Amino acid sequence: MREVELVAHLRPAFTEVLETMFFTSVIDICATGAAAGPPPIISRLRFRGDPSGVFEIGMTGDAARRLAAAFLGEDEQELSESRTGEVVCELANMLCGSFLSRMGDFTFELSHPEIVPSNLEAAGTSMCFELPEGRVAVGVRFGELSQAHA
Amino acid sequence: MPFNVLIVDDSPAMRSFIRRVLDLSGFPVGICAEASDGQEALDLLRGQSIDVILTDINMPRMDGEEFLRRRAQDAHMRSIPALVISTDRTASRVHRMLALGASGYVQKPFAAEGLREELERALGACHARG
Repeated sequence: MREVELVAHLRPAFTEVLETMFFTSVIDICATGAAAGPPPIISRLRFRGDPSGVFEIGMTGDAARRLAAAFLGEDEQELSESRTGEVVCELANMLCGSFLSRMGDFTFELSHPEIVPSNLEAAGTSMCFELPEGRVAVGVRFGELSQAHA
Repeated sequence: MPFNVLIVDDSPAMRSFIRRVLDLSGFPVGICAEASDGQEALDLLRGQSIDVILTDINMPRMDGEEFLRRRAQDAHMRSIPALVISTDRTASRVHRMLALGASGYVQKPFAAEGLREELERALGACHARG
């Protein structure tokens, strides 16, 4: 699948999930370079099926707390790091599922999303979304991952 | 009349969100019980009066498919409507879960109104049968 087609599926998946379950909206699509610097919070999961691959999202700690507060309906100052991380992982899970479902009718299995301490280096195709809560980078790469990225 | 709801999901954040959405939707909830996997849900169903189940698919220990299979083997549990909530919207997955006895399938992302409609439809169909 060409990158332009991937982007065509990523964008509506992201918009739908954020608007419906995080009660926010996309302001703009920014260049992936605009998310320069390692995002402090990254969630990664693998998907297995035909095709298989890896899906990641990354954002600043502030953006993560704001999104978590919107999702849970709680005060962002009251949210613990682990609770915020749970929401970031759930966002990654929903985005990945929504994205893959848009690609066609094939069965896939999603791994449990995890917070990982690295850059979005596993991503082959990436986009960056500007939200009122901050920027969220999304990356996807098809193919089995090496142990270093698994 | 309030309904006792069982939420089965390994994500504490998602369980909190579903509770929140149930509240926002105005759906009358009595007891809102939670389980983090299918096995915990089966254990809970044996000891607690539940009117409707909301279950995820991908969970550790016992996933949603196995949970529905085990539920179908018990006459009492089988009578409790179960809605699947999942990000997987592929037709093959939806058909498989419905074939295992799910009363409905709610695709993530979902809004409060949509969840309420599905709950009312499932409970209405259940009462019509009963």
